[in-house]
Parts: sequence; structure tokens; C-alpha cells
Amino acid sequence: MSRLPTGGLIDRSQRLDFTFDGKRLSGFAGDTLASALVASDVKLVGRSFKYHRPRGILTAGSEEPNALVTLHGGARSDPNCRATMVELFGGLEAKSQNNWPSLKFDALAVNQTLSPIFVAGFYYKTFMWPAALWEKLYEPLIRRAAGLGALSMLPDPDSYEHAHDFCDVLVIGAGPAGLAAALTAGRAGLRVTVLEEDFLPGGYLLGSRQSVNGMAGSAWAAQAHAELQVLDNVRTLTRTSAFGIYDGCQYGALERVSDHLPEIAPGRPRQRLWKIVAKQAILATGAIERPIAFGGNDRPGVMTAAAVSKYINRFGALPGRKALVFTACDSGWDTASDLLEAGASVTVVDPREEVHKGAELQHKGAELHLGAQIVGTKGAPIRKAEILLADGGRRTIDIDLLAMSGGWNPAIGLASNLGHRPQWNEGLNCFLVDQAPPELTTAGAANGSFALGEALRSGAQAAADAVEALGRPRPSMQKFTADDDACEGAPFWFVPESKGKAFVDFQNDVTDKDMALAVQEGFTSVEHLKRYTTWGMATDQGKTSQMTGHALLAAATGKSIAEAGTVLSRPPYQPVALAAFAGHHRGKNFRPERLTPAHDLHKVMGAEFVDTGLWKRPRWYAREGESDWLQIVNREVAMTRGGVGVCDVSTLGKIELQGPDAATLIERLYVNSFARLPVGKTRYGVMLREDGLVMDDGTVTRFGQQRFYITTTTANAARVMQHIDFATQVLWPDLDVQAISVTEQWAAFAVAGPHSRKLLQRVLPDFDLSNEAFPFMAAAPITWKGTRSRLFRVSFSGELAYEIAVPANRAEEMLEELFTAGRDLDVVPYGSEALGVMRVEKGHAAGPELNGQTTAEDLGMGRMVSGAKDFVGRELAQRPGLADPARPALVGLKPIDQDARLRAGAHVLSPGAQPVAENDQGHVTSAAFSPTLGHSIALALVANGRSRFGEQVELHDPIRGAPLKAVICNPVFVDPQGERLRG
Amino acid sequence: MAETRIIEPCSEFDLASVIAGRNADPSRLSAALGAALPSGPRSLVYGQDRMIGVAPDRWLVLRKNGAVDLAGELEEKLAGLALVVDQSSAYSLWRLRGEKARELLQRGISIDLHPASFSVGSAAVTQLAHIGVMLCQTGDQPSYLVACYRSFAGSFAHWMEEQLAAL
Repeated sequence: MSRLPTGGLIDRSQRLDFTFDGKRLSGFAGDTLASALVASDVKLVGRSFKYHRPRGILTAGSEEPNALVTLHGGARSDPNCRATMVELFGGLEAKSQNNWPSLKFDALAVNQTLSPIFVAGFYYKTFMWPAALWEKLYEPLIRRAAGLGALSMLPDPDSYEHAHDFCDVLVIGAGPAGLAAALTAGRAGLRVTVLEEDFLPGGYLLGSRQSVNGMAGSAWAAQAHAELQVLDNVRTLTRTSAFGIYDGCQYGALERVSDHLPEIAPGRPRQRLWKIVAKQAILATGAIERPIAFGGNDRPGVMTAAAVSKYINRFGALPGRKALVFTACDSGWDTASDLLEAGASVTVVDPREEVHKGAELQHKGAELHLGAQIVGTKGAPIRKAEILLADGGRRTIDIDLLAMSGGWNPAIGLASNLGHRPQWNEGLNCFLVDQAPPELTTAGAANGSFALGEALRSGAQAAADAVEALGRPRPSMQKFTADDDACEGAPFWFVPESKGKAFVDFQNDVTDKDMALAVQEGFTSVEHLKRYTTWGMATDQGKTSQMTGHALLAAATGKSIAEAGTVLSRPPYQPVALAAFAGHHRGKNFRPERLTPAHDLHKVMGAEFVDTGLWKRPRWYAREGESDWLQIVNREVAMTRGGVGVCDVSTLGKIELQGPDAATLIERLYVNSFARLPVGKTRYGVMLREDGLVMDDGTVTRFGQQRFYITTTTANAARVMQHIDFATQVLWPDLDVQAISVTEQWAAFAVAGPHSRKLLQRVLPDFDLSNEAFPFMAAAPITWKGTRSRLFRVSFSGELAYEIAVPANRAEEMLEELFTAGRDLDVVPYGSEALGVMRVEKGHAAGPELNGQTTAEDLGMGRMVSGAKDFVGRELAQRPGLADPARPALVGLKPIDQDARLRAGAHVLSPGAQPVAENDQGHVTSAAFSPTLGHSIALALVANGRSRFGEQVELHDPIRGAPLKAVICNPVFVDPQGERLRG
Repeated sequence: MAETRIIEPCSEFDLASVIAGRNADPSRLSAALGAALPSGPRSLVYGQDRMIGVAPDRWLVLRKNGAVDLAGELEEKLAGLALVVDQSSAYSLWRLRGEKARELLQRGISIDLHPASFSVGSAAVTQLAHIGVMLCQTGDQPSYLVACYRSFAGSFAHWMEEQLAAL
């Protein structure tokens, strides 16, 4: 056990048992999985990505590149969790990953000895040819050999949700600077939101022995947190990582709501995705300690120095008893002091010649080597380290822990999310935010204020600035008593004399030699180098590797780091499960669905539904004994054409227009004329887009001199409404006309077939439905059972037909009444398929023909186009390309062989023509089996089509079968004279 | 006593859209109605009617239960001044109550519902979980009315159920 007898922010009265690779271990409440593993002497935690090298725990924070584990089992299995971010709970199951057959013996560790071929650009160089093998061989091979944890491949049983937050001041990070900022803004009464990725606020204070205002730093943090919690205007979200900054002062954050609980309460989310809009934001994300690239710097037992301090001070866990601290920065000496205090023996190696804390440490018993470096290590876990002494001599010592510190990088990744490149600071040897995203400032160590007192003050200052920027009086500044010792360090990045692999990027297994080789090969731009070597491209986005890489690039190219430049970070700055982005929108609820007003009754009637956009429309209604959909559809068509059928057409778009200029607007929207449309009449209309192509078709009904009602196709309902809003608000704001969608208000049913009049007359006994009183294309407001309703004599099926519209609340009642009244007429419900068959039989253009590429002329509606008025699309419809008489035009097709099945998508060619693109004359847009004619029929767009009726063509559809012979014909297959619908 | 339900569907209401004519000043509409129409995204109660501003010169008028045809009555009063259409069937309506109601709505609505920004009388036309909604705050506790197109009611209710369970 490496647990110290006392100390730490853990609750020793609460023992928590857990397993790691099946082994039973225990920790305490307040532990992370990583700290519990440290306390349990577990050094080997995983295998590396490419070389399968044994790895341990490198850090104690969210930047961890090594200690990635899989949590839980079965469907809840969660791969690639950073052990340093996993809050321990009783019963936690954790497993190491990327090893086979076991963590201790990994067969693929042989990759290490093959490393000369796994160099930078290895994939590009090795798997080039033959290219056909990429999908089948190379990729699966690479994926198995190199990789992280595996998904369970089972549906995620947990739920995820979204939430929104709006605040005056957003504080990202609750370390010393963040807490000082939150207190300042919170006490000033502003709406403050504080995000802290840890479960405990305090940041750096939790891992150090420094004091604030005369009390332990961690105690001050707890007190500050307690005060924030009682302020109503402050929301503190712990276990919440900010992962992105977006335009408009929006921030993304992920709250791990239940990840620390053994069981998730029913209905509770596992994680919550926050979208935060903040007027002002303070980035107080602290700094990340950088490793040093020296030979064998990745062995289990090598840690960043601050992590060692954190394990000792926060968790009371001592990661090693024979410690070597390799530091180029003063904070490493604090770690040495922490180690001594905890009872470890300590050797300090510092490349600097002079260190002001040296004497004090020596006095406490540390062995010091100034001007020295580590060149190599041995063992897994680490056993030995070789020191290159100042005098050039070498010395190997026995150790079980190596704490390293190359200095600190402000954690400013988020600040470059919007494209602002950080700038090198020569004095501090790190990149700092130069230009920040709008309304964001940095504070504390994130701003390069590494001394504690300075960090606290900069947090308070940033908050005071934010308060002022929001037009409030500037709050008086709090006083902080804290250590103001600057954390000095030398720019020291790598050890050129290293023996063995010196890792730059631990997660992607990129070494100093990979970087040098890539530069040699010409990848000298920082962006190229990054992509070629994959340095900084793992899930940790290079949080621990970036600076070392910059330094190596600078050294290899003879530039300064400032000249070599740096890269940008993009969201997500911390890994986010895709499920969190999906929230509740998964499976059936991936998108909302729209149900017609009589949906439930359709279900009772046996409807199968089809998705039409978001709508669920009845597709057909199976009867007992019917197994084949074609059989059902044929019956529905035959019964409608032979008797009477009812189809729900409620999904069609419906728009009500009124005003002195309503008729003028309609004239400008449609190609055909409506000026003389009498009240009580409906007319078919076509509207064009501005570019002259057909946008939509539908009906226009005049219910009053100034009152119109138009219908649109289901697909274009919203688009046409938008088009009208655009026309009335932007194109012609002078027109006095008001328009509103009433699609959802009206349920509409088509009643079609020779018996439709008889049926409707029973439902509307007081309304004269005779041909004389209510002829084809008549329309009237009616009253049905005291409800204002509407009746139209329109026909899509080609039969004598009506459409009756009732308020949606009464849709089921109307539908029931139609079927009750028509029982003896054998009234049949028909779905969208039968509707489609009948419209193909009648040659009506629909979705496949109104495809955004056809003109009115193409669709056979050229004669409708008025020459006497202006309308949207008129000018551009006259472009030569659109007016070309040879353009594909709508025609019908009949197969020569009556049993042949025509298919949409087939290409039309002259008989015997080579099936190549230049011989293509058009394509089949819609096809159906016509039960009325007893054979397959189709609509097609064919070049010069209307002059080719009777001509034989070949239909090519090579994927689905051999060419078919067909004859071009009039697209109206059934009742071309239109006698039925006028009957 | 059972806890008050956070969300309840409303039934038995009449709803009508009113769109002022291009040249009809809203004050003329108000005079014709005998009730001031709110300007901007606000809602006001007059007698048994709630007038909700949903767009410039555009309102929804909501009335509990309908012995009288609301749209017909408004049409008569506003003849020549506005387009009035019955929308009683077009929307599903829910009433939400309590502190939790705000939290619940804020999960799905990306406008600020904090009392400093959205209070009694405030109204908005916005989106909730990809569904277009009309929202207005009707009481201080707080209480809200939320309307969505009726075809979306099932998806809306599903989202609400999931969120209720998650609260």
C-alpha cells in the first residue's frame, strides 16, 4: 500500500471496493480511479497506441494521455476513460485496453522492435499499393493493431440530455483564479456560471501545500465554493468540462451528471450537454505541466511532477519511495519537497546551474544534481535512471518514481477555437492568448500568472473588468494573502543525448526521432508536421505533447519557437460522447414526427404508414388474407375507380390569403391567371422559382373577392409559405395582403370514385351536390354538424371526386361518418401508394417530376403559362436552355411485353443504341402497375417527347436487369378526355 | 395531497390568428376589439381572452372553451382590418407550473427564461427540441403556456416525458 497514514482530501471512513482487470482493490471516497490505483501500487495501467509499450499514469488531470481504461461491462461498457478523471465509487469495474492476451504480456509489443518501420508517415509509406487493399486488408489490420478501447456494439442503455444556460459572466475553471473571479462577480450580484471539470473545486490548490489568506489552499477553495453555493445568482457546475467556444459568445460544456454513481436513477441522464450563452467569460483553466522528452520518459512510474504532488497532497497516496525529480522549473522543487515530507528519498536533477530552493532541500535530505539531465531509464515499472552530470560524468541510480517538469503551458486551447492563434511569450517560455474570442479574457495561470497570489488577483481583476463592462459599478478588490513566488524555469524541452525512445506524444506514440525524420522529409510547417507524424492528434489533442513538439520543430529547422509557430485547438477540447450531442433524439425520436389528425383511426383501420418528410402517412390498408402490398394497392385502386374510396390528404400545405391585393399577389406567384377566377371556384396552378424552374403545384380557391385559399404539395408546404412571406415582406411590401398557414387547422379527405357523390350526399344531406349546382372545380364553405367546413370538387385520381376539409379536431369524426355512411357502397380507404398509382395513371406530375430541374413546358403545362402578366420566374424561364424545344418532356411509357415491369430510374435510349451517356434521351421518373390497364406503366422525361408518341424505345436499368422495350405514349393513361371527373 | 403536476395538456380552448391589414394601425384593431393588443412579444389578458403577440402585427387570441365561435366573433369585429383564421384545431396546448417548469423548459428552449429576461407577460415563438413552439409566461410561480402544431404533439409529449423523468 502506498497510502499515507494521514492527509489528503479523502474520506477514510468510506472505503470503496473496485476491480481493475478483475483484481479486487479498494480506495476511499474522494479518490479518482487513478489515485486509488496509485495508492494500491498499480503502476502498469495500459498499453500504448502503436508500440504497445507498457504505460502507467502520467498526470492527475484531464490532460492524461496514457491511463485510458474501459469502465463497466456489457452495454454500458465505456472505453477510453481517463483514469485521472474517473471518480471512484464502490463496485466500479475498470479494465486496461489495447493489449492481448494480457496487460503484462502483450503479444503486439513486438511492434517496439519493429519500430524502425513504424516511423512518422508509416501508413502513407507502407500501405500505398495496391490501393484496392485499403478497405479489405490495411485498414482492418491497422485498426486491430493500433488502437484504443473497443465499443460494446450494443445500444447505449443510458440517456443524455441537453440544457441551456444564460449568464452575465461565465467562469471556466474553479481554481484559484476562477474562484476569485466567481466570488467577485457573484458578490456584485451578476448572474454567474462556474464550470469545473473536477468534482472538487480548487484546481491547483488541491494538489499543493500553499496557503491562501492564512488557511490551507484547499480549505480556502472549499470556503469559496460554499459561499458561491449560497449565492442565488451563481450556478456552480462541477464535473463539467467546457469543450468549445462558438460564435455569438456561445460555449459548449459537458456535465457528467451520473458518471460517479454506481447506479443511475431511473430516467436520470448520464450526462448533460450545456449550451451556454455568456455576456462575458473568464478563461481560468490553469496550466498544464509539460513533460520532458528524454529516453524512456514513458515508462510506468514516470509522472509529471505536479501529478506526484497532487497524489500526495490531495489523495494521501505516495507514487514511489525512491524518487527522482527531473525538473527545469521551480515547481518541481516543491514536488521534491512534498516527496521528502511524505517520507520518500529524493534525488533532484535540474539542467539549470543555479536554483534558489536548492539549499533548503539539501538541508532536508535531498540529493541534488544541478546542470544535469536524465538520458535514459530502465524497467517497466521504472527501476533505474541514468543521469548525465554537469561534469559530463554519468551515474545510474535505482528509483521507483520519476517526476518530471519541463515547465507550464497555460491551458488556452479553448481560446483558439474561433481561430485566434496564440502568441509565444519569450519571458515565460509559453504560448499565451494574444487576441481572444469576443468578450473573453484569461486569468490566472491560463494568463501566465503562475504565482498563486498573482493568479488570485488576476481572477478578481478579470471579474471586476467584466462587471464594469456590463455597466455596473466596479467592485472593490478583495485582498489575498498568498505566496507570490514566481515559478521560474528554464526553456528546456528535450535531452539530445537520450538513449532509447524519447516520447513527445504519449497517446499517439510519437518520438523525438519521428519529429526529426519528418522535418528531414520536408514537413517543416507546423501544420504539416502535425498531420504527418500525428503528433497532437490523439483524443488528448496534444495537451502534454504540443510544446515539446514545437521545440523539436524549432530545433530541427533552426528557427525560434515563435517563428516555428503553433497550431489551433478545435472543439471538442475535451472528449464528448456522441450520445451527449444526440440527447433524447435517438432511434425513433431521432427527429420529431408529424401525425395526421386521424392517425389513430387510420391505425385502427389497418393502415401501414410511410414517412413523407416528418409526416407519417397511411400507405395502404391491408385486409385479412392479403399478404402482398401490390395486391392491396391494386384492390384499393380498383375499388376506388369502381366504387368509392377515401384518402387522407391532410398533409397537403394549406395557406389562407386575404386583402385588397390578394388577387394581385396570386397573379404574381403563379404562371397561370387567376384574376378572373370567380368566387366559389378552384383552379389548378403552377408556381416557378425565381430561376424559372417549377417550384410547386396546387390549387387556388377563391372564397371571396379578397379571400383565397391555396394548397401546396406536402413536401413544399413550408417552402411555399416562406416564398409567400418573402414576397410580401421583401419583394412587394406595398401589397396589402395577409397570408398564414392553416395546414394544421384543416383535416382534408379526398372522396373519389363514381359513388363519391352518393356517399357525400349522405354526409351532407342539405347541400346540393348535383353536377349543375356543384360542378367540377366548384368550391364552397359548408356547415357540417355546426362546424365551419369546406368542400371542393377537385380530383387527383381522375374520378368524380371531392375534397372535404374539416377542422382537425373533428377529423376522426368525419372519417368515421364517411365509412359509416358508405358501408353499403363498399367505401374503401386508400393510402399514398394507391394515390400514387392513380396519379401516374392520370399523368399528373408529382415529386419525381417536380424535381427542381423541370420547366412548366417540360411537364406539359406550357399552355397554362400566361403571356399577359408578370410572375416570379417568368424572365429566367425564357433562357435559351429552358426554352429549348428539345428538352426532355413528360410522356407516358407502355411496355411492349405486357408482363414486363417498368422501373423508375431507367434510362431511355433509341432501340439498338449503345448504352452510353451520350445516347441517353431521358429517364423514367415514376412507374406503377396499373390495375386499371392490367400492365405496368410509367411517366418519363424524354427529349422531344411529345412529338414521339408511338415511337419504340429501350429502357436501360443495368443494375436491376436487362433492357426493356417500351412505347412512348400520352402520359394520361386513363380517361384522357376527363369525362369521369366531370360526370 | 398529491403534488401539483408540472405539465398538463389543455383541452377545450379556442384559438384564432389575427393579422393586421397593411394599413390597419394596431390601435384601430384594439379599438374594434375593445381590448389593447400587445405590441411586441407579449401576452395580455382581457376578460376571457389572452392576446399573444407572435410576430409584427400578428397575434394569437386564446379563449377557454367555446360556446361562441371565437374566430367568427373576431372576424366580425375586425372586418376590413385584419385577416382572422380559426386555429383552434391547429395547435396542441400545454400548461406548465412551478419552479421545475422553468428548469424543464430551459432544457429544450434556447432563449433565456430567467425572470430578468422572461417574466409574466413575456411571449416567444421559438423552438423546443427541434419543434416550433409558442411560449408565454402566464404567472409568477412561474406558469407557462406552450403551444406546438398538433401534428408534433406526440413528439413534444415524448420529449416532455423524458425530461420530467430526468428532473
